[in-house]
Amino acid sequence: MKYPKDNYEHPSVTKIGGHNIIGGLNRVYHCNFYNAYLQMAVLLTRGVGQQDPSDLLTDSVTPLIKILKQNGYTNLDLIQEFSYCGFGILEQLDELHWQTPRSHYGEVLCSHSKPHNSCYFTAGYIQGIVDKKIEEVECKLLDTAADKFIGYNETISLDNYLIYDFALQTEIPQVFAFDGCQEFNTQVDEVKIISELEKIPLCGNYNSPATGLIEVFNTVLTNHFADYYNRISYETYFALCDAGIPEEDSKEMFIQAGHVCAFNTFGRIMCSTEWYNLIVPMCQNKDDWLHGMVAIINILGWGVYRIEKIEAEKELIIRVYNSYEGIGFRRMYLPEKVGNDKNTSFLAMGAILGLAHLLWKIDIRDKPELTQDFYVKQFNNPDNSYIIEQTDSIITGDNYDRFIVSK
Amino acid sequence: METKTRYTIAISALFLSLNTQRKYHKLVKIENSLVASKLGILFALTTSTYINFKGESIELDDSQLLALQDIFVQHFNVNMATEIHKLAKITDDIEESNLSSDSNQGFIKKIKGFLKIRPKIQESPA
Repeated sequence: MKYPKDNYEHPSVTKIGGHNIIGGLNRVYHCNFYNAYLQMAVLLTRGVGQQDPSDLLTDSVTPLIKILKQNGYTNLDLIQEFSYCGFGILEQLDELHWQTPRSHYGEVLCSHSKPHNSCYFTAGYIQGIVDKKIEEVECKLLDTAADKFIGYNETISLDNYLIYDFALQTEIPQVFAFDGCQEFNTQVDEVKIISELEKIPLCGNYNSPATGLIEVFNTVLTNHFADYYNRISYETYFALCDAGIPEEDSKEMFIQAGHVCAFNTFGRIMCSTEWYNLIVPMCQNKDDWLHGMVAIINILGWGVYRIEKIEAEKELIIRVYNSYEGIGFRRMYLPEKVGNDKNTSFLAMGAILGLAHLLWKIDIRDKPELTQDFYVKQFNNPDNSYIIEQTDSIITGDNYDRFIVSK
Repeated sequence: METKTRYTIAISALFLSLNTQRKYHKLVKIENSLVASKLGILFALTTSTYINFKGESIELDDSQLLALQDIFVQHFNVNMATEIHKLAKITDDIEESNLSSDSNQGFIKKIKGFLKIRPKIQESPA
């Protein structure tokens, strides 16, 4: 049977506090570049202590699928939602064999190492459906026709890692309406932007030929599990620290992932037709472009971003209420795990720094071609770079995350 | 007392050579800061010795040279054996007893990181 079916009813999305909840779990949009980079960072830890990064990448999604099933999902719901969320097309061939003829992780990932089987996430997703150990045996990255998976008659039991209750912040100020916020003079209307963007279907393609991929803004997105990202990122970060890697190097791998994300996702959005039709008419200057992009970030499920201060080309301060990293961390670990360290929302750090770089280091308004070469030579060149500091952190008990970009 | 031959490799030449090899094999260029971070992590995990690849040069012994070659094959998809041997200059024959992990640190940080690191204030005793 082929999925997605034309009559598939999309799941209900509850939007609360900057989170997009589906089936009780927060979903966040991220691009293939971020997914590729993050997976590469996790795989660096192969051979560290007891941790196998392949297992981490696979097994971190399985308990989430179990939660969805506890919340009433059928196997058919899970197969269809795989496509809705942009992971591709998932097909069961027989009791033990599955394949994805189209897939996010099997087609659009990139890596510095030799191509290898890379659909760890999909294997873990199937594990959650069948409650058995699943392994990928063929991957499209190695020029096969489909990613193929085989199941073993070995029941797996993976514990839920979301073991602490931590509620979302409900008192979130409106745009510019909080103590300490600079007085901005802008025509950028976040409410209108969000309202218009919600009309764009950010879900896997069901039109013939169906791909199950979300191809928008010249990039390929997934509507991914926030908890999956958090689990693989923080477990890897702690493993690196335990192995004696200096904190700065360990963090930089993950902050860089956010920076890559900003370049590719924000950069491509800011060059898109939709951006020029909807946001640019509201913009007079670079500050307005920052306001416009922050409005878009606020539909991604990343939390609620609020700009506190812009000093052109010098300083950018952003608060994030309900940052998905902060909330997710508190549901997995106790705050003591990081002590008083504030610099721990890695994705947000890299993304916000990258946002500043898009306007202040390069000028995205010139519509440069966003190639890897341009990233290396211009965007990530040390010259004229900014730095980022996180001053407040939900992880350590603050009400919000707060970031300062400066020279 | 047993001695070990030590080699010095200039970081900028090493990274340039890496990207030249990657370009030759039609692979994308990787920025120096990322190469440095990845190498620092991978080298430490492989050899249990942390070396700062963000400085001007590194000092390695024979076994560490081999480890570095293997990292390039596994994680950067290029064989750098020939290039590494061309770039590695014998530093000195030094007594093994003088070797310590500290000898690999203290290079000037030429590659700027993203993170603003606040200086750690040492608490004074009560």
